Amino acid sequence: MSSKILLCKTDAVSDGAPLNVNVEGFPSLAVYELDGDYFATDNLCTHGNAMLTDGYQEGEEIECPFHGGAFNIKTGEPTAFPCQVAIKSYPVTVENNEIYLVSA
Amino acid sequence: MAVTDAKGVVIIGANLAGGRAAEALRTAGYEGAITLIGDETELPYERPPLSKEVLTEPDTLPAQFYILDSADYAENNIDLRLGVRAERLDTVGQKVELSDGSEVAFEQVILATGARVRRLNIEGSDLKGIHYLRTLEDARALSEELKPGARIGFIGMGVIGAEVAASARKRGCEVITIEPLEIPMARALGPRFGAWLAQVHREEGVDVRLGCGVSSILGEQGRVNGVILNDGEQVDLDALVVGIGVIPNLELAEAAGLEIDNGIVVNEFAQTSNPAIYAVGDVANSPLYFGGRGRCETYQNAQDQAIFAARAIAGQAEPYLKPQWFWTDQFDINIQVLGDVISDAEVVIRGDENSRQFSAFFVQDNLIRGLLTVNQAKDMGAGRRLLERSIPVDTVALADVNIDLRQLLKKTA
Repeated sequence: MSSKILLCKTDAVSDGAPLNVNVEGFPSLAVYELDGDYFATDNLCTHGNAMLTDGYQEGEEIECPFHGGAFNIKTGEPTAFPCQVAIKSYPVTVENNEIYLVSA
Repeated sequence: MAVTDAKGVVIIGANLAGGRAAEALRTAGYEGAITLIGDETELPYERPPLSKEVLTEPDTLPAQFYILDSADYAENNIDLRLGVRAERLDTVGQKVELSDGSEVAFEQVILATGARVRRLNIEGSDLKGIHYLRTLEDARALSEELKPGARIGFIGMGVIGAEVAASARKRGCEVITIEPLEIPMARALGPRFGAWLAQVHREEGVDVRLGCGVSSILGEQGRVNGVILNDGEQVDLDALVVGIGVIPNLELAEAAGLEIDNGIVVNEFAQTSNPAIYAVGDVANSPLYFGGRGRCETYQNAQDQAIFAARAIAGQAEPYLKPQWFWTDQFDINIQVLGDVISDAEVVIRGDENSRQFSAFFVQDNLIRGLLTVNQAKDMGAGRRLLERSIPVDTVALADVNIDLRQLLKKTA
């Protein structure tokens, strides 16, 4: 059985302005928008102690504010050094202008 | 001993630059042999934690301390030779001679020989209890000294002195820093924010002495126990940390006849005066973003120049020209510096300069030339793009924390 966990309203996040969301049972999450689609990943960089939502989103990429590494917001895969370990990405669904994390 | 048959790339320096170069060669699809040579016995590792986590949490190494896991070298077919020195670069015979008597043939060489610490040469310099910081071994030895209440003196308050002083305070040490210039980290932060940093250190209980030198080092039974300042004051100490800069390791390059000028002279592709030989990181004298040339002793430069050199060898040459960027972590403060913050540009403060969170933009002719952030790394992403894209800025808007910097990018994009 999968369950849905409310993250935020769709208008709380926009392309280039990802949002930090804290929900019970998960580490801090980053929620992104790109071309009308929404994505969620862990917010803590796997390299330094930085929140990715303080970084710079450029298209599919979020750049870490600390050391310039980057991740793909859709897959969590690292795309620039020094980041080498993927961040976790989560499936989301949108209903009634609300973004939900789909949890297995 | 035999010369390794397959000619490929030999990387000299098993450090951040060397490790990244090896990795980037494979990422770029390079299929030849790669040999990575280093005189330390450790796998290539990150040096930034040596002045911070390795000192403040000495029992464990920080996560991702090593550039690559040992298995990654085998998996990527990288021949790692640790604990050996490259003794000679034979550019005619195209081979490198190693200290264990073996030789490695090459098609290209990447020199990532880095720098070594500059040592004191006044009386008492060879006493025990005097520490320098460059390697993991140095950091571990220094960490042993940082006992609560220990009196730790610092000669030099550059980035190493300032970071280690902060770590020593965190360990509960009494700290005195002795810096000959009137400003700490002057070369990195410029006068205004260097002075700002001195104030932070004083607030954190560091006895900061500026415009002050050491005339002699005192010892007892072979161990340092104090210094005499050049105004005659005697300071009792349990240990002394010396951070007075580094000297590039040029010997191999010099002997190979490469062009040298305060570093190995390279072009925008990290190529030396011998096109088969590249030099990257601290040791390279490279074209600079705002013109001229220089050596950059930063993490970002070591990493990025190595990657660009690797790509050039793999047939994907692109000029490497980025504004200088570095960060430092001291106490509860993360400072990042991008571009040129030393020039006499107009300084636009975004936030409160008297707090520990603000950004300072260095603006000349409506263009951002430099950016310094204090616990405000999130301004760096947009700030870097404003600088690199040469987007004219309105200084009033820059200073207005209610205006999202990303809006300034879009306006003229």
